[in-house]
Amino acid sequence: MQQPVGYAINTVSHRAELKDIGAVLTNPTVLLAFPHVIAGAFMTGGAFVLGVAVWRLLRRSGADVETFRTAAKVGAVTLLVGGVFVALTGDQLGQHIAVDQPMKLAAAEDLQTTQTQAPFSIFTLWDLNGKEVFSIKVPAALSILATHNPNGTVQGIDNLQAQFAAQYGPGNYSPIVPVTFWSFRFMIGAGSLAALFAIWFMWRMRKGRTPRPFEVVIAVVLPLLPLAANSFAWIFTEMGRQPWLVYGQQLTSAGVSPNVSAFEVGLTMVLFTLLYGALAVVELGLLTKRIRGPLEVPEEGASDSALPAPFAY
Amino acid sequence: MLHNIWFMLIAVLWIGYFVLEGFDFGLGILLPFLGRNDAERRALISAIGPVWDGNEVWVLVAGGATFAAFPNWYATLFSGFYLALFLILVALILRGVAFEYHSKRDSVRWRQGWDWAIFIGSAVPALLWGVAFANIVAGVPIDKDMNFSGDLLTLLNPFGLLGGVVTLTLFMTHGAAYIALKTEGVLRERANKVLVWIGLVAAVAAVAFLGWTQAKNMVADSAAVSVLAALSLVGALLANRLRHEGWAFIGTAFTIGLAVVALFMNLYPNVMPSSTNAAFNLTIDNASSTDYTLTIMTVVAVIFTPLVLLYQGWTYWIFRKRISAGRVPDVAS
Repeated sequence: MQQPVGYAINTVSHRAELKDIGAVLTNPTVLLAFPHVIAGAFMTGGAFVLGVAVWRLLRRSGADVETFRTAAKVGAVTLLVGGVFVALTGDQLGQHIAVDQPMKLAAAEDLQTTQTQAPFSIFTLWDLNGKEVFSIKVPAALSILATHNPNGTVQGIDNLQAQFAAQYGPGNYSPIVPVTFWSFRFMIGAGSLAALFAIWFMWRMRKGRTPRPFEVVIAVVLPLLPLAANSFAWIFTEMGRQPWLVYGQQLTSAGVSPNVSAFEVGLTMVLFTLLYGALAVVELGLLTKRIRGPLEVPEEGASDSALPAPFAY
Repeated sequence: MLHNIWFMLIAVLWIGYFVLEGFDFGLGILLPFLGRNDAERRALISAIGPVWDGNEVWVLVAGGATFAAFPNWYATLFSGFYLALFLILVALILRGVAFEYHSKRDSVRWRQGWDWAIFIGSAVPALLWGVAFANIVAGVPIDKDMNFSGDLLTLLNPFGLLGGVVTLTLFMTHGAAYIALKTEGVLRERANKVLVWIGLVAAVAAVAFLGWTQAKNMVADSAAVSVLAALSLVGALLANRLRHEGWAFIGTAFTIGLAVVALFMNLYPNVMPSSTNAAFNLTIDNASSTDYTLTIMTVVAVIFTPLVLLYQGWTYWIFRKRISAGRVPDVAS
């Protein structure tokens, strides 16, 4: 959907038909986005283990210190290595998007006009008409991000809009800019912060040292950071593709089921949210109970039961 | 040629799903009635614990294969039956979570709550799959653009509801046969007894349903298979009476499998007939993908299906011992 390949439009049946499975499996977006997502998952796992281990060391000191020191190390290394791979694949993905989906990159920065030495803004405020009122910008950073060259050209929204309107007919081909702008920054911000905390705890726990009690706050927030980064990343990449369902081929408005009403979609959306919300509360309750509870060591040896304990319900 | 093969393979996937998940749905529905205390209910759930999620994968593959092989069938079915499939999905989410959370706290009240979630999560799909399939075979309003033009209430017609009663009671019978085969002591005894009653209800409902299907659209081969399905159920009931529990289970498995075969034979060469106008029927020709796509799918299926069958079979072999209430280890802290 981000980069359709290996197909041809059949003009008789009015549909896209698969022509080359090899092209689909080696789609450049897939080859970059897949490791990006996997590395993000490693960050989530590492941050969870590190957060729990530090919490245990600070709040349940005395028992199982060695176990949780080891866990903290494993968690920190996983988080950091995951973070490095996320950054490397993300960098490649950014350059690929600059070529393949220039509108998404322009919307990530709210870059109106095509320019060289394009800046990257850390923070921007708009008025209600979408006009920029305040912004902190790093010069040429977006050009470096997109092309690895401070003098590289980055295409702007207005230029792309004119180009798309000429190519696909009249219409608005820009995503909702504040959504892409902020989700892009929250993704990078939350992910970077998580990786920095990994280095922080590695430093604070070097050679048998123990973090200070107030650092338990970081331990509690830490597992949420990669989760937030992953969520904002999905919001960025999917919202950044709009108004396309299949990039350059099918508009989202053309993909709506004609016989499913807005009411039905809204109803199921609300019910899914309530269900997942309720299950999240239960899940968090079980997690905190397990995190606060005693460390369980699996028992060895024969038992009379018909099945091993992990398979008893 | 490939269209025919994939029509058959999708039928095979649904047979696999209903035969396998059928008994764990049935066990879930019988859970509050056969398990009279916490230990008994834990033993019952443990009897399907290692296999239910593998069973459920069959429906994902059936849905995925329909999407890839017959995209127009998938599009019409999933947007047309939107709310019905949403209800099934919610039930399956609740059920999956219920198994996993069931013994995460050492509290009988906690477990009782999840026992009911398992009951609801099993009963709703067991009923609704029958409603959905009965409607697919009978035909639903579909317009010239392959769009379903009814709503949720369109599906709740007498024929659809009878189809739901058939799957519900057949799965309960199949579940009772599985419990009789996989447990020992009182659970086994109760399963033997309940199988007789629920099996008779299922037999009456199934004969009425398959007869009505043939009356709507007489297909001789399909009628012969329907008779075989009914005979299998009678055989299962007899085997249960003689305490040949393995044969009883094979009998109920064949009943479900043959009933699905009869429905697909009745459907062929349509995949979703239109009750509005036969010219708008979705068929294996106008709903299918290209030969190139189907060829790739065939290669993938030929390689991976035997692997999946092997490891799923291996799971059943590892957990082949009978289970009783006294021999389920404690798990919660």
